[in-house]
Amino acid sequence: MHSTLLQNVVWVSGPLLQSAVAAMMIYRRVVRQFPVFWGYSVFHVLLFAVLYSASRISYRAYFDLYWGKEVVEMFFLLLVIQELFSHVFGLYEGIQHVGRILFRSAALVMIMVSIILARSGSTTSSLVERLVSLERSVHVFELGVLFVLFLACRIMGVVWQRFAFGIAVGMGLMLSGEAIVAALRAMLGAAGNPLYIILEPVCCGLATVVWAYYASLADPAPQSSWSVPPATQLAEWNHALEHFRSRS
Amino acid sequence: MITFLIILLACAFLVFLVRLMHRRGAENDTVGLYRRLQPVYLPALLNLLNPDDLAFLRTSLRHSDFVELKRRRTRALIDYVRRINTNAKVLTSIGAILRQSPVPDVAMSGQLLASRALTTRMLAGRTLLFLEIELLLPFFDTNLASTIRAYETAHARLEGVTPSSLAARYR
Repeated sequence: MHSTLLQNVVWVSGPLLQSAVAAMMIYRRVVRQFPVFWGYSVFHVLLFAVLYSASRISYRAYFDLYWGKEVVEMFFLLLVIQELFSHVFGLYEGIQHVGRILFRSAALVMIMVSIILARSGSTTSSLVERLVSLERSVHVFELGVLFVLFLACRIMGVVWQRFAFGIAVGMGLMLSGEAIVAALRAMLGAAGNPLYIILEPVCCGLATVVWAYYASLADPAPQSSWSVPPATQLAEWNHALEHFRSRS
Repeated sequence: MITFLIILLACAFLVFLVRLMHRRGAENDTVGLYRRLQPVYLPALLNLLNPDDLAFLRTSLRHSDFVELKRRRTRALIDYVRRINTNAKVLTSIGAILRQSPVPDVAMSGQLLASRALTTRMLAGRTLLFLEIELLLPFFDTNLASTIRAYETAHARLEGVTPSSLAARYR
């Protein structure tokens, strides 16, 4: 009974915090800077509602939706990491292409590592074990790409914007936590299921706490003085120039 | 075996993240960053790079003496470029911090400083690699002009944002 209550608390707190993150991002006006991460947060919240309803209907429906969500989430996380790369390196005109090259190279190397990892776990037979093995490989892949990002910033002396740093740290916490849990589940087999059921959402919850904290401190995009003047002002300048030309 | 390796790597990454979060405070300390800037006396460096001097030494010294002298010169150049490299990293951090200033002019200057400093750091990294090759193969000549020019531009940007902009940031 206690574990069910604990499970429910852990299960519900994640999406609640995630919706707070999404709302905070709107309030702090940082959605434009991180549209993919905002989409990821909203996706999490919406899917929780769908998963909760499915769990009330049938186990099969819940099972299919849960693993479907996990697969979509893996792609979503990769997109968020790519967004972090473009955000961090996009601020420096000279090295925008370096960010792209770094992301692609890191992704390529980590795909190879993940394939080796996935092959090492191919002796498993059940669908769940195969999915957990795949999840473990993808998490290691994403962790590697994220590590390259942290390392490149450290080497180049790039200072992170506060919220971008929070997203990356939260993601790192979640991915490493989930990789540990998935590895334990793969090692223990079905006996590791109760551990997996509790710890997996705990990792997500911890990451969401970090995101919520950094979202509350997020700075909106700095207003730059080289921004394009409004259309009305341009029209006025145009008019003045026309006037000047007609007089000269 | 693989499972243990993954757990070990994930735990190492967690420790790395925690250390990164601790260090972040120091990275945002602009005054501390200014203190990390190392002196680079550019006239002396330019003097060291004078091609006429090198040509004169090549013709007047024995080959073995010239090679030994050129290696010493390369070591001195490596020391200079390492300093430029370190300073460029510090300037990138200062620029990135200033870029977040609510004052638009300071933010723009910070952006330019960070961009120039980052370009300098990349050029310095490349130059260091060539200088290491020159140390092994003394007949190889490294061109430092682009690195020095980039450093001068970045340093001039820093002078443009100090100290009034710093004051504006902490207002």
